[in-house]
Amino acid sequence: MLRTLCVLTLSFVLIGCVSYRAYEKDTSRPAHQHVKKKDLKGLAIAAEDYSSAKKSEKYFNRNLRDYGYLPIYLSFANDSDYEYTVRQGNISLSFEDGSQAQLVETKTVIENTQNSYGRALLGIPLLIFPAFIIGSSVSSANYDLEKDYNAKSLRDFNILKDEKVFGFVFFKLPSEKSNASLNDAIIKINVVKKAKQSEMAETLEGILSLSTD
Amino acid sequence: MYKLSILIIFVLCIGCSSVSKKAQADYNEAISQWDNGNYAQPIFLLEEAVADSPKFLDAHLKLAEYKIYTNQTQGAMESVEKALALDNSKPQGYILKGKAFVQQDENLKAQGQYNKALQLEPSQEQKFEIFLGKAIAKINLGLHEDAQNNIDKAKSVSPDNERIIYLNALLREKKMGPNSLTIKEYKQVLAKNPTDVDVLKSMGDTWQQLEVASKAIKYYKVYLEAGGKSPQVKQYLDKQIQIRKKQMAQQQQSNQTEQARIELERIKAEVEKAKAQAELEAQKAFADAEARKAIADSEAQKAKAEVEKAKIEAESAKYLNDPLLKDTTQATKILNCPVCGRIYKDGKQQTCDYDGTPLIDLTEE
Repeated sequence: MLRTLCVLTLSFVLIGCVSYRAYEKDTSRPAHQHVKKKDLKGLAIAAEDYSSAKKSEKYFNRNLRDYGYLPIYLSFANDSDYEYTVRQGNISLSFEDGSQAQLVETKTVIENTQNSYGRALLGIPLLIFPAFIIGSSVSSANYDLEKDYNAKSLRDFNILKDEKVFGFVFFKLPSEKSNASLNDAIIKINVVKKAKQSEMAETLEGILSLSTD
Repeated sequence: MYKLSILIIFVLCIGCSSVSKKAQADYNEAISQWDNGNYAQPIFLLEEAVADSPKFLDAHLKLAEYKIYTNQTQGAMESVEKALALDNSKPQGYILKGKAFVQQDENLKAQGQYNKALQLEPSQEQKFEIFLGKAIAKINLGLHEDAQNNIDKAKSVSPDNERIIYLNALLREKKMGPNSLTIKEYKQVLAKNPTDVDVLKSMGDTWQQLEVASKAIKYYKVYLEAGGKSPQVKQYLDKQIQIRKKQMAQQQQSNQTEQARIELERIKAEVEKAKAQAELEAQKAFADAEARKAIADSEAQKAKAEVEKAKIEAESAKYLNDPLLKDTTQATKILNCPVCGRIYKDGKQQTCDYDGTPLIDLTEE
């Protein structure tokens, strides 16, 4: 009887305990090394689809498609003498039928993918102590997740000569497209090439297909 | 009884056929005419066929195909929709819809249609069309690597098709701009199919980019003759007509100016000539006048001299002919001394008073 109780308690504790472990973002391959890339007057841009279950689990510790999000990894490398400005609001994703996915803030993705404290309740029927441990592990995992997602996400930025920038953007996956392929989807990015002495500032549009390798 | 039942079913089947004989005949005639290079009449025939038999799927599809070829994209889209409403289990409708989307520059939507077609077990020929269609859409989107992938897929389906050569050439041009190899490959494709509207248009586009208007116009004209109806091509040709009109007007104006200049030069030359002539004549007249004056002067001098002479003569004559001066023999002798020169007027003295020298008659000298 006692043995059964111990096994049961351990099981609840194991089920309830959570942790967050994910790979760092891959900065080893700058944009200009990608096969599928776009060159906007010296600014190389590449986009990769990280929405497959395998990649998503590896880098976000969960399959974000299940939560209705598409993580897209963008890399920029400035090989020109100009300075460019990239804003999240100027990035869009279009599916092969022409419909667009809405860009979502990292904060929203974090809020909707964090672990639920409901798990901690599993410990309550048995002992208060395990429930506390479980609750604490959920908090810790959520903290790690938030920190990691924020660190990985792409913010508005300026990129100077010879600089490289990497980061994820997240798109809301429409419910009717939960299994949609991104093979023929495109990412559209408008970047602003800043003015320079005798040259005017210029907005450049880059259309990219997504690498899935 | 059994045979009768079969006969009844057969008759019913014929009676219920969705395609009338007239529609079928129109359809056949349309294809025949199209193959003979007549691009206008077949569309009319097919429209009649579908009006007669609205469920004639092949006619709808063929109509869409011909309308796409002749750039009647909106009409093509309507025909495709009708065909898909009749049967959406065949890939051809989606392939045509993809092509129509490409014509409307909706390249992303075209991908979706081609992907749908791919899922419907297309034939090898259709697969080839799908991959080529996707490649064109990718090229239009500027996704060159993806385009190359699709060209390679198409090549694996039909390696010897000249459309592969065309698309590779087109892709090369998009990547590196107009180049001689691309032009050579376009020509290679055109040698096999001189009325390929896509290649003709691309050839025109290339020359347009190279700013060789004469060649661009040449290929665009053949493109239009072959049934192409691209608004951009027409727009370019309209622009060229305007440019040429302007050039002609300028040329005409320039010619007129040149003519006027030549005329002015001629008039100027004539004026100069006349002036020179006048000057010459004036000089001549002056010279004549001078000569005449000289002659006159000379004559006047002569006359004057004569007058003078006459006057002198007259004056002399006065004295010479004066009877009073005629006889000078009685005149008083004037004597002078040949030694001292003293003159003695009385005529009576014989010797000089001074030295006694005998005087001589001075008037007889």
